[in-house]
Parts: sequence; C-alpha cells; structure tokens
Amino acid sequence: MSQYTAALETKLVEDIPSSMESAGADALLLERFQRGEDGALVELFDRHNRRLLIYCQKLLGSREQAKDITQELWMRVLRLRGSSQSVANPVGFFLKIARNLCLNHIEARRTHTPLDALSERAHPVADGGRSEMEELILASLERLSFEHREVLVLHIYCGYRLEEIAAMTGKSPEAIWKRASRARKELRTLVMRDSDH
Amino acid sequence: MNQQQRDDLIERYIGRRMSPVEEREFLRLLDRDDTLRRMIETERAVGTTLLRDRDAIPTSDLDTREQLLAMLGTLPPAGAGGGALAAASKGSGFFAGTIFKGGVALLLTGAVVGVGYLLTGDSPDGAQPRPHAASTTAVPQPSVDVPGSASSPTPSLPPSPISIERHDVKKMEGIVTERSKGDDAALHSERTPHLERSKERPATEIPASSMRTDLEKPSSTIPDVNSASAVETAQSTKVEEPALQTPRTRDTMRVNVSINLDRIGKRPR
Repeated sequence: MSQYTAALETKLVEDIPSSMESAGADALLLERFQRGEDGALVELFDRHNRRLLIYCQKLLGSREQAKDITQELWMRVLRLRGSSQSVANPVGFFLKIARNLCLNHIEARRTHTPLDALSERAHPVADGGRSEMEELILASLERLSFEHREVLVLHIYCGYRLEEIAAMTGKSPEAIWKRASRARKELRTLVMRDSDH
Repeated sequence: MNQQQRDDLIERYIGRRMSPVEEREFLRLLDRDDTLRRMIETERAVGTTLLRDRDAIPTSDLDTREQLLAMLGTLPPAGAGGGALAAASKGSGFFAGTIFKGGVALLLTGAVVGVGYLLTGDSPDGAQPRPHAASTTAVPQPSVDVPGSASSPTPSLPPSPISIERHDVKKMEGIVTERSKGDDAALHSERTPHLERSKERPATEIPASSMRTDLEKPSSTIPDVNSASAVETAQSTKVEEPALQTPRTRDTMRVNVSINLDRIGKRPR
C-alpha cells in the first residue's frame, strides 16, 4: 500500500513541475507580457493551460465547456497587457479566474440545462471502455460537493501538492489537508455504498 | 473498531503519518478487519481510476492557442497603454476596425480605377499627354469633355467614374514621376515613356491649336450624350485616331495598375 501512495506521489510530481518552484518564473513572464512581450503570454499558456483545462473539465464535466472557460480566461489575462497591476502568484490568479468562471457556469446550468451542456458522463455513449467500478468512481467524483471535488482535481488531476493548493487558494495548509481528507472519505463512502447495491 | 477509527487509520496511513511500528500493526489489522480491508481496496481503486482518467484526458488545446495567437496579433503595441487594450478586448475595437476597413476601401477604389481604364480601353482626354494636363496650368483642362465635371452642362447627373479616374491618375502620375528618380530605372523606362516625352516638351511650348484638336476630337470609347461637346463632335467630321494614341493610353493604364499593385504590395515582378 505504501508503494501505491509513493507511486502516486512520484507520478504526480514528475509529470508536472512544481508550481511553487515556477511561481517566480511565472510572475516574471506575466510582467514581461504586461510590458508588451507577447511571447511571454504564449509561454505562460503553454505552461499552464493543460492543467487549467483539466481543472475546468473535471469541475464542469464537459470538455467543450472547459475549452470555452479557458478561452475566456486567457482573454481576461490579455487585458492585463499594458497595465501595471502586479500579480505575485499567476497560477493562483489563473485558477481564481477559472474557478469563478466555472462557478458562474454551474450556476447558469442549474436554471437551464440544454442537452449539449450535460456532463459527458451523463450521456449513454460516454463509456470509454471502463469497468463498472471505474464508472462508479468517476460518477461518484461528480457527485462530490464543489469544494471537495476541486481539491481532489487540483491534487490528483492537476498534480499540485496540498501545500501548493493552499498557497494558490489563500487557505492554510491544514485547512486544505482537512478538506482533501474529507473529500477522499466522502468519495470512498459514496463508492462503497453504491457498489453494495 | 468503529467507522471513525477506521477512517482515521486510513487517513494516517495514506498521509504517511504512521511510524514503522504503527504501519506494521495496521497491516496486520487489515487481515482481521474485512471492512478496513475493503476500505483500503476502495481507496486504491479510487486512486488508480482517477490517475487513469487523468491520463486519458486529451490535454492539447490548439484551438485556444491559435485563438490566443490571433488575438495577440491584433493587439496594438504595449506603448499604446493598457486602456487601449482593455477597450479592444472588451469588444470595442470599432476604431481599429474602421481604420482597417477604410484602408481596404482605398485600396479597392484604386484597383477599380485601374481596372476601369483597362476596360474602357481609352483615355478620357484623348492623346493629350496626361502629365501636362495634371501638372501644368498652361494647358487647358481637358475635363470639359468629361461628364460630371464642373463645366459639364449636366451637373445634375451623377458623377461619372471617369472623373474619379482622372483625379487618381494625376496623383498616380506624380508618384510615378517620383519613382522615376529612384533606382528602378528599368521599370521606369518600360512603363513611362510618355512621361519622358512630357519632360522633353514643356507645357508652355504646346501649341494651342494642337490642344484644340485634342479637345474637339470625338471620344469613341466613352460617348457622353449629355455633354455639349459630344453633340458637337457627333456632327463633326470623322477624325482619324493617331496611331500613337492607343499604345500610349494602354501604357498609362499599365502604369495605373502597376501603381495600384505597388500600393498593396502585390506588384508582379
């Protein structure tokens, strides 16, 4: 079991560079872009769009909607060009924009949900060759509360350490650790309960 | 052991907060407690599934990247200030769009003028060297025969495109004259022989009689039934066209088209 958790941590860490290590470089890139160096924004995009896209996709359950959100996000970042607004933590800044846009989108979806906007998992054709258990786990993930789902997505899907998530979200590491713990427990409980039926 | 105790144990185990002794005890407990073992197995399945799901997500988003690059390409220089960018990004790129459209309209107008000359096949002011008419005041303005001009007897008619062409031609020939002073001597000699002739013969030396002949000459390609001169020329005797007129006129047209192509940067070499 310890091998499993170690492998999990190793995979997450080696796949995606630490945001804490790159925070200074990101801030520098954003500054360069604000001074008019457009290539710096493209570099920021290449560094972070992947994780932002995954983040939005897992929170919204739709890739197309996630792409819309990330497009809107980068358009908003574009508005920083020429401004003197200082952003110390660009990744946290990007995530904050993405989070708010996702929440707005979810809120709008509650009142009107066209078929296209339904979660891809809600479609009967969404089965990607997964086992029943895998389908159950992924469906349970979508049933978690937004905060719980968010912390698991940031940690497992986006590869951020819990300390990094705390720094990006402005919460204390203990609070994030507790939230992640509750999220795992909630997810585990949901899966175990549904697998009994 | 109750559920809360099991949750705490699992949390400490996953968080690597157990001492080696506690960890060995926990592994032994797994053999005895089916519920705890099942919880751990579920936890493992969750972790594996989420990682597999993460790896299966396509992460490239070339559309957004292309869109971003396109947006960056349309932005003004950073020196223009953040306000301009903010206005542009908020969808108020009206002024930039207007300026762009105006530029395109100017280019299109120039192209239409050049094509118009090609289609008409003749110059509105006949065999008169255009540089003289454009650059000197001593030469009578041949625009008296052009409909839509100030001296036309039917000013109420809509202005003919010819008058626009004349205006453009004057400007364009000025440009060509300037170009002829440059390095492109071969191009100049090929395209502007009439300009050379006009330089050799100043406007003040042109006999008035020859100018009258030009002005009274009927325009076979652009009949203007409304002008007085058209009526007059229709009744007059047929005047033979000078042999030099057609090539010179076409030459002028070629110059116009070339200039238009120059302006839009697409002149064929």
